[in-house]
Amino acid sequence: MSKFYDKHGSGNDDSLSAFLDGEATHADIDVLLAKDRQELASQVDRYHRIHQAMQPEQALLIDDGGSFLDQMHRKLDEGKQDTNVVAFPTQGQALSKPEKLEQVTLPNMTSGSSLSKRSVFSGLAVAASVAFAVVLGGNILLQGDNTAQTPVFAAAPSVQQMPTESFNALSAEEALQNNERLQNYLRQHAQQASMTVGQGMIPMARVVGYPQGNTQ
Amino acid sequence: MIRGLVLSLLVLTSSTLWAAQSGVDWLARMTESFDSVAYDGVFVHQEAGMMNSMRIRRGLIGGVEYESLEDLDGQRITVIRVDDSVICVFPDKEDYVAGFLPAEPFRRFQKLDKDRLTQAYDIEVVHKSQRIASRNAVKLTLIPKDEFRYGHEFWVDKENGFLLKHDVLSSDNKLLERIQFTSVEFSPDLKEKDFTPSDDSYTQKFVEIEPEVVPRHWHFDWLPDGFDLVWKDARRMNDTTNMLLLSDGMSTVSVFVERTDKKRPQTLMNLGATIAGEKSIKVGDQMFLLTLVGEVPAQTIQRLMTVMMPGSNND
Repeated sequence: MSKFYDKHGSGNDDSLSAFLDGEATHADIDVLLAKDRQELASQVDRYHRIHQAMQPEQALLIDDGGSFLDQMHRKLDEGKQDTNVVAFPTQGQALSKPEKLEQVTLPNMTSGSSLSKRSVFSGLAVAASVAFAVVLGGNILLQGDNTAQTPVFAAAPSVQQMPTESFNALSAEEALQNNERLQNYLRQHAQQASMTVGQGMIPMARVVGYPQGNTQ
Repeated sequence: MIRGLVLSLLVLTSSTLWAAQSGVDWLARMTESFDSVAYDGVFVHQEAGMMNSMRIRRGLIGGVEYESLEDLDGQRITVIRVDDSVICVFPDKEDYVAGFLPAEPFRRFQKLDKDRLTQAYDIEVVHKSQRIASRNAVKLTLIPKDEFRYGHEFWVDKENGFLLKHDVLSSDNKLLERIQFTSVEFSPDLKEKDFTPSDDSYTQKFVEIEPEVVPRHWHFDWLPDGFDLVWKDARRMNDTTNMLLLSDGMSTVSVFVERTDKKRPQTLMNLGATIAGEKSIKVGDQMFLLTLVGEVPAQTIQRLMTVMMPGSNND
């Protein structure tokens, strides 16, 4: 399956990229159905052009932007919209609600519960989801669980012997603090890389493109 | 006839000069181009299964240097640099992120360290015509001499050395990260207003504060060939955290040393080409959390975590 995350930003972009990844929720579908058909077609077209530039050997995600809504209706009928939803505390909620984090479902980590209509797309929620991928990616790497969804490359055998930390073992507050700290470090690192590797501001793309969470 | 002969000679000399340029020369040109060329381009950044497009612009307007990086797909965050001032623009105040502002102005780009690079990589020019974003390009390959760093492929503009495409590759040649311009215009007609945030956006201007230089107190018993500390001392990030920086001229590893009161298990994390590792270490009565972040293989981060010790050698 093509992985085509538009990993942050407005709910519309999130919903479209989730749909293209076959991961849209009811909420995503609702957002897309409410969109202007013309606007949606041009957005799909933009995604296609980028996708084709990056991976010309792969088939188009959707053959025709104009028939996008029809395809979406078909998907609705097929009932494929409830997979892979990440729920996080919203910005207004207290952080110490570990039961929220236990609802996380990520690629190849099925919890069995469907979270349709419960996904949260506030800025903090989206930020947390990607930061969480950092932590989870680490655990996948360490456990040697090479999934197609998380690009994990050749790791030395010794790496897999390292003790691992289960994200679920952390309290919600600890997990979020850890994510914020890591995001802050990633930003600092990208800034220094910008000044070290002679590529202008381009290394900053790593962090300007990351969804932003509240830090410090 | 003489004129024709001279012209042929010039063309021949020019093409010979181009062919004679080494990979390192092209990389040096690429680095210089970011400080000398005016451009307006759109590129896509692909990493860890995620992709987004960004617009980058640079121009000299009235003797003042302007540069901007704008996220086109997501939260539309823009970083604008006007000489030594950096402004971060967020679409709404709610999107503002404390701590996002760069620690230092971007203009302090360092020159390419050719010696360090050639210690670590075999650098070759691919003599085959290339075309990226409608521009003729020269392809360079950086093949790592050991397993402690990634491979790189660069496509640079044949005319001005500008970076058009950059792939980061794992040891088994898997693509980990890609930057690729889809369009770029050189010498664009940029105006001051192109770098002026709109009235309804939320902006934060960065007031330059030199990070405090503090004693390092940590050293590495081993470093991969070509890697060295960029700063002899450490930089103080906040009350509890200092930062060290390692580089081989192409890849960088940032090291954050944080005083903490809680031991954490050793952990490795990845996000595309970027690997982060954490390790707790106790020195006397004080616990420290070491966090290493870099675009190097996991085993490099793991080994660096193992050989990082209290004390300030590596001088």
